[in-house]
Amino acid sequence: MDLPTTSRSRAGGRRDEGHALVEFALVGPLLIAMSIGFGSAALHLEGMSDAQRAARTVARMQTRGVDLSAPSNQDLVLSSLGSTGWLIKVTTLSADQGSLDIEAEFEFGDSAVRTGSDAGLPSNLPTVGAAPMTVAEVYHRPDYGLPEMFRWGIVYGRAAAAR
Amino acid sequence: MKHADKLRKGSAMVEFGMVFLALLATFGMIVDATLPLFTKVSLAHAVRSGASYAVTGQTEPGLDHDQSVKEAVKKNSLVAVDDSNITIQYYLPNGRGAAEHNDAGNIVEVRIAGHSVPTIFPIFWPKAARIVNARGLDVVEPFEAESRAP
Repeated sequence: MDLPTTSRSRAGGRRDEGHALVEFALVGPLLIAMSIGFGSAALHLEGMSDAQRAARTVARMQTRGVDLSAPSNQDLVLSSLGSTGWLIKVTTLSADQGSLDIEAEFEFGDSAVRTGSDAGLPSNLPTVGAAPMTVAEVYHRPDYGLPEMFRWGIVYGRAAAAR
Repeated sequence: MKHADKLRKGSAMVEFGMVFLALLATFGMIVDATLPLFTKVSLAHAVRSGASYAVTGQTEPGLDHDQSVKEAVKKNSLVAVDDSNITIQYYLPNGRGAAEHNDAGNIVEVRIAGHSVPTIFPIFWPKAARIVNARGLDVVEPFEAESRAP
């Protein structure tokens, strides 16, 4: 049965449309912000894994005899990381009667990345005989061109290697 | 069919057409935005695997060392990589520039440069933003002299 269309029902339909538009205007930005938030969180996680991998590579290179204090080698490492905002700290330790002594320590990259104090070396580093051990610490500030509110801060990676 | 039913059916089709196009565009945009990231991760893994392969000095049957490394890179990549985009370079460990061979202790750099990622909706993304590069580093281990790179 066809219902007669009255001016009241037409006005009601327009009001419903108006409600839907207002609701969309409220929910839409929230949904967009959530999508960007999830995306930036995923990129941050990827940055964490990049930092961890970079630390492993640096620690391995240093223990294999690569002179990472040489600027050209530092450039090689930094350019292999593919983006800006990296700070790498290399610490060489030696074991002496069960205690670890710092033999050498240097850092390269963008010193502005680290805003706070050092994370510091862990107290439970194993002593590997008398072999020198290298600890590489990597600080990275991922920049994906997103506004500040969608950035998750500095990522940190650390790895140790012994010859 | 009554006139009102015909009108309703027509407007439903128009709505479907509009929503379907918007959905298709959204889907294309998501794929276009994430494909370079996926490619970057895949190529980064491939060059790292290539560098790990290179330091062992092994070769594939019938191929020289550098060609074998390129094969290792391609095998470990989830996206198709062109041989011409892969370069292998050796550096002296003391930081005094490039080395000619894969002698033990040298740094090996496996690089993919200028890999182009295709677009579904080219209007959304500039072409320059869809070029992906990746580099992997490692240090060459001591191995038999027959595997020396040319």
